[in-house]
Amino acid sequence: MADHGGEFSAVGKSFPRLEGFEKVTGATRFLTDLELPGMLYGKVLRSSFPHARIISIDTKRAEELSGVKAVITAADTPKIPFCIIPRVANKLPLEDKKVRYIGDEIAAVAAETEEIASEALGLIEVVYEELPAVFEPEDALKPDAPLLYEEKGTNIAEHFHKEYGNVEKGFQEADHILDDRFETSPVTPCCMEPRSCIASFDGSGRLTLIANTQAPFSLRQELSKVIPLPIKKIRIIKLPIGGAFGSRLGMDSIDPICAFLSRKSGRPVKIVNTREEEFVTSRYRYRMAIHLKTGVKKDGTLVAREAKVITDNGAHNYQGYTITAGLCQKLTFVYKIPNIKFDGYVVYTNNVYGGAFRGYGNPQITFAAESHIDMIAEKLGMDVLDLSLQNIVEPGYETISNCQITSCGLRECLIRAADATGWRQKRRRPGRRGIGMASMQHAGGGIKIFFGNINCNYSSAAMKMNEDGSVNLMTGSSDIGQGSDTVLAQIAAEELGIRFEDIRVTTADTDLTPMCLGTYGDRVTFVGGRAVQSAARDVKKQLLDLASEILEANIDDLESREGRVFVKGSPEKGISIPELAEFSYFKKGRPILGRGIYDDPISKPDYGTGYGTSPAYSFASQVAEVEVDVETGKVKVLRITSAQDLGKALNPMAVRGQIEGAMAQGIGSTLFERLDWVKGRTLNSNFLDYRMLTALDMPAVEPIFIESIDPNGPFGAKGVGEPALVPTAAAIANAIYDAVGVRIKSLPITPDKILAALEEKNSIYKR
Amino acid sequence: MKQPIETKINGISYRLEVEPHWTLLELLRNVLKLTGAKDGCGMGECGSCTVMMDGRAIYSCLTLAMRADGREILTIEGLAHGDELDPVQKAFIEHGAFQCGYCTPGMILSGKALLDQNPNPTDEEIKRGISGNLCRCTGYNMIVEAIRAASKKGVSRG
Repeated sequence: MADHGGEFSAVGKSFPRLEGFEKVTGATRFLTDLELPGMLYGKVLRSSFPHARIISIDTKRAEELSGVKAVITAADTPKIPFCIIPRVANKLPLEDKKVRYIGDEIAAVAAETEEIASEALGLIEVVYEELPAVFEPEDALKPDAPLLYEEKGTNIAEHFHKEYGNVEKGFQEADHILDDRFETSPVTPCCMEPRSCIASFDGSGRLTLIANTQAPFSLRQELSKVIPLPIKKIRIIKLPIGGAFGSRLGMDSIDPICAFLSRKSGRPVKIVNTREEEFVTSRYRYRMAIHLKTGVKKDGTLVAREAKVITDNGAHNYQGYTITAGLCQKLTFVYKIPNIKFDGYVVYTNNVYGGAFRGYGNPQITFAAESHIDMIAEKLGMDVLDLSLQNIVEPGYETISNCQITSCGLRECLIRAADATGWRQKRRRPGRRGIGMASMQHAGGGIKIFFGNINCNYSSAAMKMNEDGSVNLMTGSSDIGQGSDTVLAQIAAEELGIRFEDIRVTTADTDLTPMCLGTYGDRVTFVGGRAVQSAARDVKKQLLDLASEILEANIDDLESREGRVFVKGSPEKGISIPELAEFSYFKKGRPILGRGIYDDPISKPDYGTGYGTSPAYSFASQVAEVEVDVETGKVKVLRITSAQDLGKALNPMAVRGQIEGAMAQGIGSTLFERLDWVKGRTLNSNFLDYRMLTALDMPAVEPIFIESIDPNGPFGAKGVGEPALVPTAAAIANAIYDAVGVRIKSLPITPDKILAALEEKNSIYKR
Repeated sequence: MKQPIETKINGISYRLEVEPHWTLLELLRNVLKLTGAKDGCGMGECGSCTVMMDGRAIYSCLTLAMRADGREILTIEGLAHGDELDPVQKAFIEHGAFQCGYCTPGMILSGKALLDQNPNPTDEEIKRGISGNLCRCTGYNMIVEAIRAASKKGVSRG
C-alpha cells in the first residue's frame, strides 16, 4: 500500500507498531500473564437457572476446604446495582434475591489455586425456587408473560419514540411503500484473551484494579459507586489487552467481585474467565427485530421512513436503551429523508444481557436499511447505485436529527467502489454469481455523552520532554489492539517536529495519565489525537520561547522540524531540540511539561437519550461479490471492496488492518455467527460450535481510502475502526439476491435459509 | 505423583518433575514462566497456545507435559536470537500482521513450522497452515502476506 506522506514527516506513513518487537517475541505481558506476590485465584459461581428465586446459599463446606481464603455472596457486599448508564442500573455484582439468566453471578471464591477455587464452587449449596422464564422478546411483551422485574409491572425496559417531519404525510406522497421485517442475531466478540482482572489493596485501603477495560476512567467511576470507595482510593490500570471490540467498555461483575474477594482475603486476587464463561456471559451484539417501512416516489426520491425496533435486552440493563435510541439518528443518515418516525422497545428476557460490539447498533439497522434500499431500487427498476447517488447526504448537510455533516466523501465512496468492481457490467448477470452494494455512516469522532453528570466528548494528554529531547506522552486513551498508541505517537512527532522513535507512550493508567472517556465510537484518533496535538503544541511553544531567547529571533519566525528549531527560511540559524531541552532543565531550571485537552465543541447533547451527535462522520460503501451453490445453499464470498471515507489515513497500514479486520467480523456475523440459545442456555459456548472466520474463510478484500480531510480532525483524520463491518451484511444479502433472486431478511444467512427460500421461490414458479 | 522428564526448551536442557495431568502449556506458563504461549480456550480450538515440538506446530494445551520427555520444544521466547528476529517475526512487524497480539506467538510459530517444512508455500498452503490459529483482529490476509514475505526471503529454511 502506498504511503500518503506528502509534506508530513510522521503522519500518513505506515510506521510499524511501537510495541511490535515485544508482541512478536512473546515479551508482551497481558493481564492473564501477570502474577502478583501472594496472589489468589478467584472463581465465580453462576446461576444454572434462567429465572429463579434464591432461597438460601450455604457456603460453609466451601469455606472449610483447605486452600480457600475467602467466599463471598451478596450478603458480603453493599448490594449496589451498576450499569454503564447509571440511571437504569439494575445489575448487582452478586445477585441477591433472584437470578435472571444462566450465568448470573451468585457467589465467588478466592483460593490458593484455580483448581481449589473450582472445587470450592462445587461445595456451595444454593437452594432455588424456579420461576417461569421468557426468552423471546415478542413473548415477553404478552400480558401473561413472567416478569423479570416485578416492581416494574412490564418487561419493557425502555421505550423510545421520536418523529421528525410528518411521516403520515410523507407516506401519502409516496408512489411505493415497502414494509418488511428484518432480524439480526446475537453475535459475540470472541476476544482472544478471556476477560480478567487482578484486584489488590494497599495498607491504606486503596484499591488497584488491573482490568481488561477500554475506558479506565469510566471503570473507576463505576467501581467507586459499587464498592463503594472514593475515586481517590481507586487506581485502574489497563495492560495490553487481547481484544475488546466494544464489549469491555463498561464494568463487568467480575471487576467488583475481584475487589470484594481481595478485601476479604487481604491478598491480591486474579479472576480469569474460562472460554465458556466468555461465550455465556460476555456483552454480545444485541439481537433486534426491525420492522422497516420506506416510502419512495416514482422518480426515486425517498420521502418517508418508519421503523419499529424490538431489542432483546436480556436480563439486565446495560446499553440496550442508548443503542436502540441511537438507531433513530442513524436512520436519518446516508440518505436525505425528510420524514422519519422511530419506535424502539427494549425488552427484558431471561437471556444473557448484551452490549456494544463494534458498531453500536449500526450493523443491525444498516442490514435492514440497506437491504431495503436494494429492494426499493428493484421495485423502481433502477440501479441501486443511481438510487443511492440521487439521495445521499453531502458535505455541509445537516440531518433532521441535527447532525452537522462536515466532511463527507460518500459520493466518492459509491463511485470508487462501483468503478473498482465493474459494478454496472456485473450487476444482474445470469449465473450463480452476484454482486451487491451497501453504504453507511458512523460516528467519526465519538459522541457527546454523559460522563457522570457532565455531558462531553473529552480527552486529555500530558507530555514531558526529557533532557535528551525525547518525549513521554501520557494519555488516558486506551489502545485495545487497534494501534492508537502508535498513531498518537505519530501525531505527537508530527506536531513537535521530532522523530517518531523518540516518543514513548504511557496510556490508560488512572494514576499516571490524564483523563479520557475511553475507546469507543471511533473517537481515539479524533478526540484523543486532538488532545495529544494540543499537548504537543504546548511543549512546542515552550521550545520556541527558549529558542527565541537563545537565537534572538521573533517566535513567529521560528519553526520546529526534524529535531531542530530554526528561523524560517534560514535553517542554518537554529538549535537542536536536545540542546533546547538541556538548556531548559539545567540553565533555566524548568522542566518541559505540556498539557492538552480536547472537548469537542461541535457535537451536541441529547438529554433524552444521552446519545448526542458527533463532531465528524465517517462514511463507507461496500461491494460484495458472492457465489451461491443452489444445491447446498452455501454462499462463497469471492471479494469485498470497501471504500471508506476516513478523513485522512494517518497510518495506512494500521488503517488497512482496521478495515480488513472489521470486514472479517462482518462476514462472520453475516454468514456463520450466532449464539445458539435454547431456553436461555448457550449451546455453542466454544470455538468449534461458534464459528468465527478462519484464514481459509477469508476472501480477498480491497480497502479503498477516501481522504475527505475533515476540517476538525487531527490532520484531517476521522475514525476508522467500526465502519467496515457495518454495511457488510446488507452488501452480502444484496449480492445473494442478485445471484439467485432470494431475499434473506434474517441473520446469519445460513444455507438452510437459502435453500428454504429457493424452494419457496421455485414452488411459486411451478404453480 | 510427580514424574521426572528430560526435555530441551528453547535450546536449554531441563530435568523437571511434572504432575502426570499437567499440560505442556501449564508447564511452560506456570512452572517455567514462559508466558508467550497463551491460554485462549484450553481445548485445542483457538491455537493461541501453539508451540513447536520436534519441529512441528502443536497445541500445548492438548499436549501432556510428560510428552515433552526426550523432545525439543521451541516457544516464541526462543525464536529470536537476541535482537535478531526470525524472518517470520520481522515480517509480522513490517506487514502489520497483528493488532492485539494475543494470537501472535502461536500464529508466528505455525507460520515458522510451515516454512520449515515448505519453504515456498502458496497462499492457499499458508492459509491452511494457519487455519488452526484463530485471530479476531486482522482478518488474516495481512498475516498471510507476512508469511509469504518471510518465505520469499528464503532465510527461514534452517
